[in-house]
Amino acid sequence: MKVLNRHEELALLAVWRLQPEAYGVSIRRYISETTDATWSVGAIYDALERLALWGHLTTTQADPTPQRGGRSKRYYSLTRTGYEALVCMRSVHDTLWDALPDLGFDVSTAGNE
Amino acid sequence: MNSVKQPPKVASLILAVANREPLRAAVLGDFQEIYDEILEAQNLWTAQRWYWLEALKSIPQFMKFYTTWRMTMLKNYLKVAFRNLLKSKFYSLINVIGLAVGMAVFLFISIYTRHELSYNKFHANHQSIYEVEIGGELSTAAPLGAEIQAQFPELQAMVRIDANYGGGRSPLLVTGTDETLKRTKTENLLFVDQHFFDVFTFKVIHGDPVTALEQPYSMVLTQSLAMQLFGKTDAVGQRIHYIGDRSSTPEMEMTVTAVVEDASSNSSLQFNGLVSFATLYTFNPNGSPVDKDWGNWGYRTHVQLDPTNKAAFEEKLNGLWKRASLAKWPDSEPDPLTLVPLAEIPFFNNNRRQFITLMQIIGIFVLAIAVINFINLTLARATTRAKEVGIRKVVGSTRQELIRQFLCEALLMSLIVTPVSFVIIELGKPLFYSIIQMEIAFNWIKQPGLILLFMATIFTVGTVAGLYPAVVMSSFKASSILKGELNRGRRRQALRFTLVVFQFIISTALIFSTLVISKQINYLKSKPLGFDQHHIIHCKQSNQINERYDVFKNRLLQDPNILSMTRSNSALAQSLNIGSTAEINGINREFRATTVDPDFLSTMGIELIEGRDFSWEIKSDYYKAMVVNETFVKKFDLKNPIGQEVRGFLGYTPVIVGVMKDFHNDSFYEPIQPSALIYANWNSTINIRVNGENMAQSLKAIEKVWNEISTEFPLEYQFLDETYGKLYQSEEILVRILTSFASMAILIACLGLFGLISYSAQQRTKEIGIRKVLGASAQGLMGLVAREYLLWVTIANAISLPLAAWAMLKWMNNFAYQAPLTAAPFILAGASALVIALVTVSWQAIRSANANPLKALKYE
Repeated sequence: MKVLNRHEELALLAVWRLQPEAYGVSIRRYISETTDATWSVGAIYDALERLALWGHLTTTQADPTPQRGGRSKRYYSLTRTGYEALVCMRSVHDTLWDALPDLGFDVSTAGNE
Repeated sequence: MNSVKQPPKVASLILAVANREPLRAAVLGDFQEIYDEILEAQNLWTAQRWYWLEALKSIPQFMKFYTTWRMTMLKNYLKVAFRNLLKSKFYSLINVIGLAVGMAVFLFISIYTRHELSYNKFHANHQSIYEVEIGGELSTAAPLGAEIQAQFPELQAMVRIDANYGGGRSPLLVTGTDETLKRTKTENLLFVDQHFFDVFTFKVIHGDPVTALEQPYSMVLTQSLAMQLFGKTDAVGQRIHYIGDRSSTPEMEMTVTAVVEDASSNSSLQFNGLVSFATLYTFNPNGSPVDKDWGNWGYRTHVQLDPTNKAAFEEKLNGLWKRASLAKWPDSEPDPLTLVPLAEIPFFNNNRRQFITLMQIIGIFVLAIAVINFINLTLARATTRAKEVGIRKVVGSTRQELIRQFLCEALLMSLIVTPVSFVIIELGKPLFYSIIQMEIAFNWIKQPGLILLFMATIFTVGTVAGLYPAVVMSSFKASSILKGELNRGRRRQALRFTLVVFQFIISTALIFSTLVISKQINYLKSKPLGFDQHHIIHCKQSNQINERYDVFKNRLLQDPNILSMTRSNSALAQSLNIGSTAEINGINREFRATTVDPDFLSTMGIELIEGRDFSWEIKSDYYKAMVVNETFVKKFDLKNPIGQEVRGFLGYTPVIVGVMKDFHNDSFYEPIQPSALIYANWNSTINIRVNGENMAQSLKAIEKVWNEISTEFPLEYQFLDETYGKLYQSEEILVRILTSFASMAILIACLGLFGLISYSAQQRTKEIGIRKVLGASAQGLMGLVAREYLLWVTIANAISLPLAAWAMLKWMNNFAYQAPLTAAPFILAGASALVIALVTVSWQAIRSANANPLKALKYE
């Protein structure tokens, strides 16, 4: 199994959440909002195109519209292998978390102490 | 929409370039969308700024994405390339060796020519420094410099160098006190004006360059002379006792005022030490005050001025010169003075530039031959790669990508060749130095230019060698390749033919030129000079010998091995050192002259054809008698030369007493000049004719007597025939270079031919096998394989020889005396190219002709 990196995982999750309306701007906005950080367009596309190359995503070129300076959108959607990769990542996370003892931290306030 | 509200054009252009379709449209659209959002929510400036920053931030990521893919393809290309290299080790080896040798030769020649062209350019002011030239020589009167200094204050600087007619002075330097007393004979000491270091860029290590040459008896040493004399470089303040080598330079107490770095090999000004010009004023070497006598020549005058004022200054300079000259010599019109830029000095009045161009051409040719090998072998073997091309095309490779792939392979090849040629260069250095008779320090680390040149060569070789095969191989049609109907292409065959012929045209031309040039030089060296130059020893006299010359002479002549001796102004094997003009019967002409004593003609064995020789007995011969050569008689159209007065010879008006046979006192570049000998006592060179059979004994005898009389100066002698031989040094270097590089060229061309024929024999293995089974003879088969190539070489000969002959005839025009162009070099050059090709070809041909036909037919 190929472990996805953080960008790839987030992008894949965002596509899953947003499809069929998953394209560059919406994905970027969604990830930026959930992570509370600004993501560069390049970073998003870097991850997306790599995922597309591995077959985790398929792409569809929409017809150009008068908005966006007459340029078409590139829609992404999850494939079967993409879904499997996500499930796999989840099980990795779960296994790692489960192996930890409960230290009684309140995770939400941990950073403020 | 308002056009002002459009996103920044440049940034979107950058984005567009960084991306490809279909991503390009999507990315640009996304950018535009977000831009519009920001524009609506905030202001134009924020939106614009966002666009720019975001674009710049994103580009590395886009680039990364694409380069990853390029790298992946590159990896594949390299893998395939390596596999191919290893699969056909033999052809790879031929390619690598050929290219490596070609590249090494090219780089050697580049290093050499770069060095030759860099002369004097290390002087920071070299573009504003000029040297004064008159009548083809860089020698002027001493007062010229002084007058320039006095009359043209606008001049930046003036520097005279008393080079003593080019040789510099060779005094004896005594250092240390009683016990540590050391006597060192040194050479090439120059007397220079005080602004020497302002004008020329020589690095002063110790001492003050501004004042170093101001005072009389100041001396500047080079680092190596300082080490030799004092064992350390910081010799400032040391005292040196100077004993001059001529009667005109006295003994002096000098003080070292500075130490400079040794002059680099690309300086035309070479010296071991400098003495302040002011020192000359204290002893007036030519008898009268240095700066007053316009007859006092042998000084090299340099001026530094703004190059834009050159023409104007030249005119003023000539005005000054003309006035001075007419005052001194009222009846002769002076030659004009011209200013020669410092960087032009090494090329002044010689054919060195031509020589350098020739070298460059040879270098390029040798490299071209190696590149052609690569092209030929790649093309010949193109069929082996055809299937790969077909598959790649079917899988979706574009032609562009295929070209890129093959170019990559060629570049890879030149990268593999690089270390090999490095090794060749390092190993070949000593040989190279011995060929050019010089050591050029080339340091890869210190000279980034060299590395650049090297890389440029590699890149160019790779591209040139790879481009054509790449274009051809990528043009194969996938469908026809896979169907197995790749046409062999008459056109490609024709190209291979052209290229091989071209290689052999060059090789044969190089062989031919080598033969002709060495023949010409042998001709010059063996051509009778008009007198017997063998068994003559010449040396400069020392002060002590000069004072007791009669004793020296009488003692020596008692030895039966010493046949005779004479003194002359300077040694032969150069142009006679006094240039003069005379008017006889209305004919005004230049002639060359030198002074001798009355034993000159008999010692040298120069034949007298009319009149009489000088005589020791006839007192009136002194300064008044003159012996002229046949050319002199002819040029001045003298019906009755004996008794003729020659007006205009430095005001002496001598009378012609004899006419001698023409002899060559200079190289054979020059025709014989109207020349004259005058009996006078300005002589400092001793010429001794000895018995050739007892050379060692004779030398010992001379040395013994010399050492008894000249206790200070050791004897330094030369053989006259060798001195004459040295006149052709640059031609000999040319011959050596041509010989070595012509053989390289031939070697590389043959390697290529060998590769080609091996390949074609291999292709025809089956055909040869069948022919053999059917009863073809070995000779017949050899002919079959080799015939074609030998025909090519013959055609190459037919084109090459006339071209080379034409070029050589042009070159020979440099010489006043030319060896006749016979058939020998033609036959030899043509035949040797053919024989070498034949040997190359036969080896393979015999191999395939003798191979077991069973094997050939079983293969596959």
